[in-house]
Amino acid sequence: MTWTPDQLEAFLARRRRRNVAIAVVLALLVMLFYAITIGRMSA
Amino acid sequence: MASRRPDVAGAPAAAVAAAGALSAADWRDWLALLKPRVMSLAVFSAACGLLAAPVSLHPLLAAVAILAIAVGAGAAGAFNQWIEADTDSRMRRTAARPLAAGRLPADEALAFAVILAVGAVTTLALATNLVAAALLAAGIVYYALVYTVWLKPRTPQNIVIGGAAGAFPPVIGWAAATGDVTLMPVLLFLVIFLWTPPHFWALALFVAPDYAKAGIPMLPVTHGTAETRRQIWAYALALVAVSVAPWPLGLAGAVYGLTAAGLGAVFLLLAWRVRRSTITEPRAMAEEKALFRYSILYLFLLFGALVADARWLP
Repeated sequence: MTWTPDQLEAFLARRRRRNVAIAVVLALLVMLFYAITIGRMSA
Repeated sequence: MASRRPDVAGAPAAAVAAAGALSAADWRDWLALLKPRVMSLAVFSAACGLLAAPVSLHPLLAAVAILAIAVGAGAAGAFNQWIEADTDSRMRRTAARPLAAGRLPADEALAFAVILAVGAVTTLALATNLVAAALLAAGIVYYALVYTVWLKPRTPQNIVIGGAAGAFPPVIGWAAATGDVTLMPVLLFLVIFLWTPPHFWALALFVAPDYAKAGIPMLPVTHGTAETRRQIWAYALALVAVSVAPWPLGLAGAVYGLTAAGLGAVFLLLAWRVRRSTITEPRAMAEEKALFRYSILYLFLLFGALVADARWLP
């Protein structure tokens, strides 16, 4: 099974988008847990 | 570790498999998997439960709690769509959902649902307390397993039982603030529990052929339109009685009580028109459509009045 150039580009674009999305989610989680910590300390 | 860019010609089998594992679904499909409209109701009722509670939560923790409840509700919706993908594909109303339409692989959807559910319960436990987290976990399990897997395909009372799952959020919101479940959150639970059957059966009456085609034993399919209309009326009576109850019980003020009574009167009027109707052609069911639309507005105004009464009015 081989890829056409278009299929390969589509795959790489999808992988890049997913990697960015995972990075954003992880960064948001860090901020979320930081916010929880601050909130609990000041509550 | 550096990732190797696959060759265009003669790409390695592992890379091709990886390409297959990366679905073509975009963010709209992932969002649709969470049932955002159901999620918005859960967020609203949870926020109302939290704001109506006699204890104020730190605003940051309150925001995190609402977010966790929203994600938990979304996870429940994702489990539901994962389980019902086959049934959804046979109904016009649900055939375009990402799993039913085949835009999203089932294993990715399941993994997504599990991660969201575990994340939401853990976050709620860390941000607030274990009572709220346990209630959120119970709500997800109830909706995904008890309702979707077990009862929905087996009994025409599925909507009544499913209503309990949708009734969890205000109780979770209240528990997040207080760490406790008292009579008031139980009444809020009952309001949504009793509101769900007239709301969904009004819808089911004018989409009954769709449910029949999918083999789902909704009340209009199994017991006919007359029995469904009778039960809509019975639940509407119980709903209005319970919704007004916090006022005479001293759990809410006159603003809430009078609003509940006024909104309830309109609800009863529309439910009575449905009760009296004998129309069997779905497209001609104007009374049912009116009740369905009003029931959404009713719940938002009722809970809004509860918060206004508890927080901002003397």
